[in-house]
Amino acid sequence: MKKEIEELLPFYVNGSLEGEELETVRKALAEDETLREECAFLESMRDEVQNQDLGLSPGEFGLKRLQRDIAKEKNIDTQPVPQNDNRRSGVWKIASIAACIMLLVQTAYVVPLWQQNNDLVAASGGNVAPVRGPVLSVTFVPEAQEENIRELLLAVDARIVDGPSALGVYKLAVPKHPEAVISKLLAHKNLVETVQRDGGESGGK
Amino acid sequence: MTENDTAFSLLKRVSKGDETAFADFYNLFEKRLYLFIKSKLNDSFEAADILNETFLEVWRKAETFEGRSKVSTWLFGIAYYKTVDRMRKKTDIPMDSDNFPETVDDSPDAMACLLTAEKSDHIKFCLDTLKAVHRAVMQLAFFEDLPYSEIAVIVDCPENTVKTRMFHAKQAMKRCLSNRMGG
Repeated sequence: MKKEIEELLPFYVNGSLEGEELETVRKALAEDETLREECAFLESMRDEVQNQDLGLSPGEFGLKRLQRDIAKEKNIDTQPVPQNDNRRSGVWKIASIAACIMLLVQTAYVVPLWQQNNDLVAASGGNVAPVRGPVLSVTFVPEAQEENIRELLLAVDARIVDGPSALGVYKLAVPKHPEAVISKLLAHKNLVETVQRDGGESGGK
Repeated sequence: MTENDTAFSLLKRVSKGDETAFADFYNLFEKRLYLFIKSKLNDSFEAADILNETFLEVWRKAETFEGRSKVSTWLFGIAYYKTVDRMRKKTDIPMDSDNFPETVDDSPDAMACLLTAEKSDHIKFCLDTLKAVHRAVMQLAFFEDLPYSEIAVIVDCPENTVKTRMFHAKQAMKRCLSNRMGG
């Protein structure tokens, strides 16, 4: 019971207690010295809180800030929603048609040029020159340098038409005298490991 | 005309977009509300921010106020909610904790000390050491002189919790003062 009274004391001190609760507290205070001390303590605390320095509040600056924020909100609310401007959309319509025509003309001009350009080779091999003459399957020694292989192939007029396969086999097209080419290739043992004519004889180390 | 009547009538005008009424409403509550927010945050800049947010909310929501509570209760409730929200974002401190240890010192000597003339500075110091939830309740009870029922609405908790918080605040004050005054 005493704790209940103690819990009501702050509200007795601030004068907000009424009715039955007020009567109960008054009666308890009249009978209990320690409660009166508690009450005095709470009154001194309340005095201190009441007398605390209010410090500098935002005051007029705060009000100005609010008014500015409210004005901003009002502007957002009252900004006119763009209406459907037929005159302006007509201009844009003409501009878009003109742009489409230009794109069409440009495409019609550029695409044929593209098709004539031999530097652009499709990955599918559509523009790869057809293989003419015998084809040799060649493997190179692992230590062979690309530069030396290139010189050898140019020397025998051979070109790589396929490969390398997973086993390192390259297909070489040789326009003429395949036997002589095979001999020349096999002569470079520091570069060529094996040579085999597709559908024919083979040679190697 | 009571303060609540004045505030209610201003709020009605604010709800119709009356900026003069809004300025009057601001002037009526600004200092007290700022003090209340600052008592929880202890940061002038943040307190000013929340004050601004609170009054902006009043401007936007004035028409939703139905007069079922006092205007000040509604207003302080908004401020309390915004303050707690800001504190939650800033810290991991639990905002509704009432369970701090109590080491009450009820000795007559300590009580006598508390009532001496030099207590003022100590009380000021100890008020600052209170937990935010207790300081808020103390502020509402002793600065605003609000009944516990209204404080409960503002801080959105049961009436008994308000009484308990106030009780704990008082105990913490006594403990702090005893330590400072060597009681």
